Amino acid sequence: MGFGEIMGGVGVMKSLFWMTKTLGKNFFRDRQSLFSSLAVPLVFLLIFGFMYAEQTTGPREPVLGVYADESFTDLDIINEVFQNNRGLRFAYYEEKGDIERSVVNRETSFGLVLEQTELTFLFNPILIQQNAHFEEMARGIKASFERAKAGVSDVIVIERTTLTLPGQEGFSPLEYILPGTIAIAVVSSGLFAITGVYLTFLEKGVLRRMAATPLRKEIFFLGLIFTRLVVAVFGAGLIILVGRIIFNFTPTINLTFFIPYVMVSTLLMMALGVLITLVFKKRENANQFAGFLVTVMIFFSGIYLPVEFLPDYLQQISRFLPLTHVASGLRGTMGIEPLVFSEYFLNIAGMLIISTFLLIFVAWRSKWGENRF
Amino acid sequence: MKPEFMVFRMFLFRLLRDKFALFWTLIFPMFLLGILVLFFGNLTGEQMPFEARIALVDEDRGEISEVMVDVMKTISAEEGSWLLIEIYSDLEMAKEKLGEGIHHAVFRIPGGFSGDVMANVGGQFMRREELPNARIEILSREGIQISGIAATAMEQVVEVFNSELFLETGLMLPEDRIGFKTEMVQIEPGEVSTFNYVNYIVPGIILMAFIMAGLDELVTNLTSPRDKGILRRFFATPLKSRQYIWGLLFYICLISLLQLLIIYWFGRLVFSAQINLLSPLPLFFTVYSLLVLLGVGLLISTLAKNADAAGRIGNIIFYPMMFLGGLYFPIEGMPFFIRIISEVNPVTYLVNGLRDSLGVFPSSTSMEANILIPGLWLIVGLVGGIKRFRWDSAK
Repeated sequence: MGFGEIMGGVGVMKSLFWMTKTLGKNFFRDRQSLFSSLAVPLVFLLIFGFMYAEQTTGPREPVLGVYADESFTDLDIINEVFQNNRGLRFAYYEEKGDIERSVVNRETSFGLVLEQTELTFLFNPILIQQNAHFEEMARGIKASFERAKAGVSDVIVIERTTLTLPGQEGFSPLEYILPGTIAIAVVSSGLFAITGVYLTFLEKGVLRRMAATPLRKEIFFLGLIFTRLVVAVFGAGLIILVGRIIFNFTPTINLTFFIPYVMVSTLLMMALGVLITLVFKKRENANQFAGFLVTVMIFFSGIYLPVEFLPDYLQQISRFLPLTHVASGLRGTMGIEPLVFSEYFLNIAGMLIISTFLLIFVAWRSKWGENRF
Repeated sequence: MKPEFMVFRMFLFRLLRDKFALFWTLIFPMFLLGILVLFFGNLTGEQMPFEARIALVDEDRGEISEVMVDVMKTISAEEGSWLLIEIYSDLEMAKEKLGEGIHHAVFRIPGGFSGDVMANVGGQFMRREELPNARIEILSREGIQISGIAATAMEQVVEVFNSELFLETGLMLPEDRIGFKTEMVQIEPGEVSTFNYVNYIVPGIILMAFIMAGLDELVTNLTSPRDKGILRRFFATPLKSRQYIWGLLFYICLISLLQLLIIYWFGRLVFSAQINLLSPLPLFFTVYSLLVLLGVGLLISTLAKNADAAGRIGNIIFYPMMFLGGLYFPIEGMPFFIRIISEVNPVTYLVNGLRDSLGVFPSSTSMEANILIPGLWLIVGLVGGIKRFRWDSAK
């Protein structure tokens, strides 16, 4: 390698360093981008984090409304049964209408109406994710009534155990959504880097002015990529930190695999952003479509809502969404799910190939003048 | 032609020329409605919302365990059954499949189960104090919501089996049984509850569209042209600021009306929603909601120094307003500082008022609060906007 080539290489590295630094400063000065990339995922984490804390286990102290009609044949065992269920709080109502109102107004978590030889589980339909838990409690109380009445005890006892897979430590439903939230941040960061930053520069004529300088297009794109990779890793760290402070999340993160996966996922989403710009020429439209895509992916990727609730034909959509695979990979590197190395490396390789190809394509074909390609 | 109408026409033509923005504005609420109904629509019924895939391991192979297995096979074989079982001879294999996500839960009948059942029943007849319990183990994946639900459903299967066992053995007489019924709370006294999640969510989607109108359309079309100097150029003409804002408001009202009609007819035709928005009280809440949210938008435009800041404030407010306002699901058991956000959020009261007035679901807040608290936001927005909104960008 000759002296000229070496100096040329040093020059390129210097350009790349300054480009990355400039774009990095631009990112932190652009509060809109900063907010979209960092604050929005945090907002999601806080909202859904607190929601999951209550909805998956039920309220910390559910209050059961109880109404016993005089016709109920086992009035004498009511006290015995409720005394044996000391973990629950009961509120007794004299009138049936009162217990219904209490359930509607959410003064009580659910109601038990005891009439003749029947126990009615009265539930509020809008407590969608808690009602299964409440029904289980109601059926348990019904079983207690029957046992007490017959003077028998359980024959079959159920042991509920949770499976912790090798390489995992125990985690809660809250911790399950943390990698998904990081995945959303990665996806947003990568996608909007192209549909937002790149197209903004293009439309404002910044790139046209850069084209008049010796700066090479490839340097600009590399700078953009490096900036976003750093932002993605920073955003992931911020989400983990907030999760630790507020929700006491303590996942076991394998940094050796976690950081590269965050970076390659960001690259993949930038590549997806490139595809979007091939269709939508205006920044506003590209951004709107990117936002629409992120919304679709959030719902269909199973991060906050189980896709099993969807009809079968819609569940298949989940397999084709990048966010599903990004979230799954991150769960593996954070100890939430087992990390299968062959799958990990295959995913990384696949994402890297697709994203490199697309990004090189846009860097090569893009013209920094009026016409895009 | 009146200046207000010309301004209105300008915004309208701009939207019509931008086909994607038109699509986004009109189609996104429909999309969101469809998604939420598909996810939550079947969770409010009595049936399992999904097919539970259970790995069954019978280590006992005794008389009683085989009966239990046969019962589950029968349930699984029914058409449209919620239960899908696969039988494994090896527990470790079943656990592996559970870990891979192939199954939602593992149902294990340990060795000695049938013997323990018979010993327990015999012991209860003889009134022995110490009785062996026959154990069933149900394994689920930690932290996976769907796995927990499937395991809970299997517990209920065991409970039914337990009850049948008592009856078959004579430990319990038929008259000892207590019936169990599930019933949705009645919305109107004396009526059978007709709660329908679609009817519940449509008002939420309508308000979401109005939030976008207030926090996005109004804010963007006030602050962005101001920053670009477009308004200054406009007002160098005979166009007055009040004419500009009236034209903008007419445009936003038209778009909001279109969105409302699309949401309503989509909900009605595709999901059989049955709500009557034209009754006086729902109509009042619909119009009132739009006015309040426009007031909030005006407040944001007044407080923000420039379009960028306005966009950021709008974004900060948008998600909490949506998710903590009870638009899609109720907000329960939140920590204090999250509850405060919900309680000062005008959307909380507007959606309660709209749902109550439609007869979809009774409001958990009083009707007075549903009107007064959003009214405060409207007054603050209007007064603040009229007094303090600047038509020139900050220097």
